[in-house]
Amino acid sequence: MTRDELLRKCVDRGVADETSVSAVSHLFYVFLLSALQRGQRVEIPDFGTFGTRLVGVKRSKKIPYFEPDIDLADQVNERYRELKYVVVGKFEETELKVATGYSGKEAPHDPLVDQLGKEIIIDTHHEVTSSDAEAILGRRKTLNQPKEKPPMPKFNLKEGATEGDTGGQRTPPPTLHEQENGKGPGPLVQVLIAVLILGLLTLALHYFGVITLWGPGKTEQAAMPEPLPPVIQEEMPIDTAAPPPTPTPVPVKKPERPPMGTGDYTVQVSAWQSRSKADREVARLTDAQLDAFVEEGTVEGDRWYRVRVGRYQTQSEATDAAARLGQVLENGAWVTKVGG
Amino acid sequence: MSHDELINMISERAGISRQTVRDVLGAITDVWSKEILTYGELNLENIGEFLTEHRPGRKAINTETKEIFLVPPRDIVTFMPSGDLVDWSNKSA
Repeated sequence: MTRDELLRKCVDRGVADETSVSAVSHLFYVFLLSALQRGQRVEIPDFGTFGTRLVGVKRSKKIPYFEPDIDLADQVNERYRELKYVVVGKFEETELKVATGYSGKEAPHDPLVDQLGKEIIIDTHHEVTSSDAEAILGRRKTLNQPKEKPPMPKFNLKEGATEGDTGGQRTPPPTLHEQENGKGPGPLVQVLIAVLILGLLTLALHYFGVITLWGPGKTEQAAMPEPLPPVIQEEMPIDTAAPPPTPTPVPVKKPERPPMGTGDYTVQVSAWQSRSKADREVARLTDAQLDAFVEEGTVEGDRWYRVRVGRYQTQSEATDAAARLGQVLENGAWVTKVGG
Repeated sequence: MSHDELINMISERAGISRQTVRDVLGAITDVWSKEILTYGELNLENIGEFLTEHRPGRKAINTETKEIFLVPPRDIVTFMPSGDLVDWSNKSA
């Protein structure tokens, strides 16, 4: 309802002229607000009371409220005027006992008593002894025990197994942890350990030169000459003006080695049971400008390929050559006779 | 602030007789009451909103006499102040 509607309805009642009604309504609104601002109550007969209440945690905010007058409340509840308070019964403690089964004076309802056929009578004046407690707890245990489970069918997967067997229950294979804790290693672990030991032994033999697994052996490496320094080719200036003339290939003439002598003495460098290894060794020595050759021999039924260098007429010449070779080769060299 | 104090203040400020002020205030509150009883609600500009709410009947117990009785249903008048009224009320006087 707006202020104009209110003024019009008041003027229609004929209580005063429009100016007076307007002034009174305006001042009423002003005094109502100022009273609420000061926290005062404003009583209006036959309508109600306006006021403010403090709310909030700090009680610092004021909220206006309205309490309707009794006459207004009665007029609002005009249709319920005939209804009065009707007493329908009287509250008794027996109702609580019926509803909950416990009135506070008797012992609480225990389903165990029903299950035992009310054999146990709890007397509040009787001091419970240890035998009573044991009897009660024993019966409670029997009641709490689960019912008998139906027998499980027995499975027997083993052929020829008797009834006393475990019913075919498969025992899981022992884990590595179980094997280490008293049961000993399994066959798989034993095989792995054996393979590991053999591998380590083979590597040790290879390291000490007893056997050769891969690459040149220790003796081969010792017999290898020092690598020659790399040849550095001079950079040729690139002439971009004209294409360089194609050089005609000139046949490279290999340096001729002195012919091998015909003496009976020679210097042995190494011996191999493999022909290929011996040939490889000879090739290396030949590249180092040495007159190397291979001689076959048999020692106690085994065939050996001996790598030898040069032939000398006298033993002293051979000894000098062996000394020179011995400074280059780690394993040294020794003098022997050709065919020996 | 009582009703008489309010009438005296308005009469002094407006220069109108107290009886006239009393009649006008009675007419205003009567219009408000009729509006609430007729429509069940009244919305006053810049003041707030009056509403009638229904409270159903219930069963209650008198703890002294232990009597169980039925409380009849009723309607109550509630008031929701407007934001302007709340703001004005919280302004320092």
